[in-house]
Order: sequence, then structure tokens, then C-alpha cells
Amino acid sequence: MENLLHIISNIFIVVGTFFILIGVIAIFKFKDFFSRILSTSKIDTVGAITILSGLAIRHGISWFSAKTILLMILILIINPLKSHTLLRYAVISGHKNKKAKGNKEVAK
Amino acid sequence: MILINKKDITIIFIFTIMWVILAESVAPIFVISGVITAVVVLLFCKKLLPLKEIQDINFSKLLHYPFFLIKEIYVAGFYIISIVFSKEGSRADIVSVKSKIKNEMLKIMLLDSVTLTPGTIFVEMDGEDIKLLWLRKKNDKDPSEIENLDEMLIGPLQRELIKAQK
Amino acid sequence: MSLFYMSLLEIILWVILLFAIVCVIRVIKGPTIWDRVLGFSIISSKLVLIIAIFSSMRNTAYLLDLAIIYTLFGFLGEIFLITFLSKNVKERG
Repeated sequence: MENLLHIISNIFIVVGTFFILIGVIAIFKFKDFFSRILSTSKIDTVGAITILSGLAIRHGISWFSAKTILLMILILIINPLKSHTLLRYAVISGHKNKKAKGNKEVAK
Repeated sequence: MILINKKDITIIFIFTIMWVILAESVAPIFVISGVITAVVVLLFCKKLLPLKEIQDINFSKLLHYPFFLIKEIYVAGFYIISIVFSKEGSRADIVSVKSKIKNEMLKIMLLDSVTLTPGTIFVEMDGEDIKLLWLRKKNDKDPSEIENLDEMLIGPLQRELIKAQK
Repeated sequence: MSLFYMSLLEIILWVILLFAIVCVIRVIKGPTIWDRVLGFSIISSKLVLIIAIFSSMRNTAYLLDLAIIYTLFGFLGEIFLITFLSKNVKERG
């Protein structure tokens, strides 16, 4: 029984690590800020939820998994607030999406 | 003047559960101190909580919403992955849509979950009009050509949330 | 040699630490100031995951309190940083 739980949780954790890897690829592949924030913040949330639920499965019904679920709910509430605030103030301060070919024209 | 009415009991219950989880014990002393702390915190923070808007929401019709939201989050994750590995490149634009929800609290819930799900981030709100940042593949249609943009971007979430309006 | 005795969780911990170090490149190189803040927020969310995995390895639940507090204070610090920057940075174009 315990072996089964460990195998399931290992699968969850490895899948979550792959999500995070794709998020790190996305932050270097895209050329402009808007695409970067859209892709990275979202994939980051998915990866964090997957890894934390894997840890919760590994420990069964215990205080550890209760705290992990509390942390998951906090991340689900806080991450969209973070990305919204960052994007909103970037738009207010005058950041625009130019049809630039490289990074240099956006940076100026 | 009644400081604590019936509807605040739910909030006190949630605060006490969080206290017990953080203390890692269900011994009576922790439960009692948790209830006392929850009441004191509620008395201090009552002006900050949006209690009036919460009273107009029918929460019993919203019980399945978290599961629906988690499913949508994973769908959005795979959509973004398909964009990251596509060869044609991507474009991000600011588009504006209209929402039909009138309750302010439900509107905020809609915008918060839109930020979590399909390829959009909420930028600014002014009454009914909502500005969203939307990521798409480079060869897709222009946003001005698409007719039912509202239905495409916020349709399914809005349909679930509008049931809870009184 | 010692790689063979590593458990899966230990390997994942080092891999996530590697990702966090790679994100520092974006913070240093980022063309606009907002890219730097984005890189900072991603690094802080990786650190939360590292703390959670470490506390699972040691089987100590009280280390998770650190992760919760780090999430809350990272959010607060980032909001202060962004509002401060928005008053002082005016981008051309």
C-alpha cells in the first residue's frame, strides 16, 4: 500500500518538474515582455500545484498534507494577484508591445 | 448593537480550522484559543471584509466550482505549452470584452479565475468593460475579426458564476 | 559515486535549484525593469518549492510554516517594489 502511494507521488512530482522546466524555457524563448509574463506565470502555477499535491499524496492523511493543501490554496490565491499587479503597473507606466524584431528596440 | 451575527460564524469556523492546522494538534487548549483569536481578529477586521457583497451570493450553487477551476487550469497549461513549442511564434494583444455579472464580488472572482485560466491576464476594469491581455499564435485571426470574443475568452467561467447570483 | 544513493526527492531538489540559478540570468540580462521583477518573482516561487521538498525529505511538518510565511512576505515585498518602481520609472515609448 505504501509503495503504491510512493509510486503515484513520484509520478506527480516528475510531471510537475517538467512543467517548471517548460516555464523556464518560455522565459528565455519569447522576445517581448507580454508573452513572457503570460506563459511563465501560468505554467509556474500549474507546476507548483502538481508538485505540492504529489507531496501531499506521499504523506497520506496527516498534518503534513493538511499544511501542504493550505499552502496550495495560498498559492492559487496569490499568484494571479502578483501577475495582475505587475502587468497593470507596467501598462500604466507606458510599456507598449512594439512589433520589434529583437530585444534592443523594446529596451531602447 | 450586536457585534457578531449568525453569518459571521462561518468565518470564525474557517479561521479556527486554519489555527488548528498551523498548531498541528486538536487538544482542547488549542481549539479554545483558536476560537478566541478568531473572534478578536474578526472584530478588528470587520470593516475591511466585503461582507455586504458576500451576503448576496448563493454559495450552495458554487460548491463544484473549485473542481471545475482546477480542470480549466490544467487545460490552460497544455494550451500554453502548445504555444511555447509551436514554430510560427506568438503575439500578445490587449483586447476588451464585456461581462454580464452585476455583483462586484462575483466579478472579482471571475477576473481572478480568468487570470488563472485560458491564456489571458486581467489588466483593467471600468464598469462593464474589461481589458484583457491575450496570447495567441501568430497566424491566428486578428481579434477585430472574431465576432464572439466574449464567449471565447470568458464564456464558460461566466456561465458557472452567474448561477450564484441572487 | 554518491549519485546512486540519492533518492528521487533529492535529485528533484537539485534540479529545481538549477532552474532558480538559470532564472538569475534573466534578472541580470532583462532588457526592461519589468523583466527583472518577473524573474525575481519566479525565483521566489521556486524557493518555496525547495523548502517544501526539503521538509518532506526530513519528514518535519513545522518547516512548512517557513514556506507559508515566505509566500506571504514575498508577495508583500513584490507589491512594494512594483508600486515604488511605477512612480519612479518612466519608459520612453
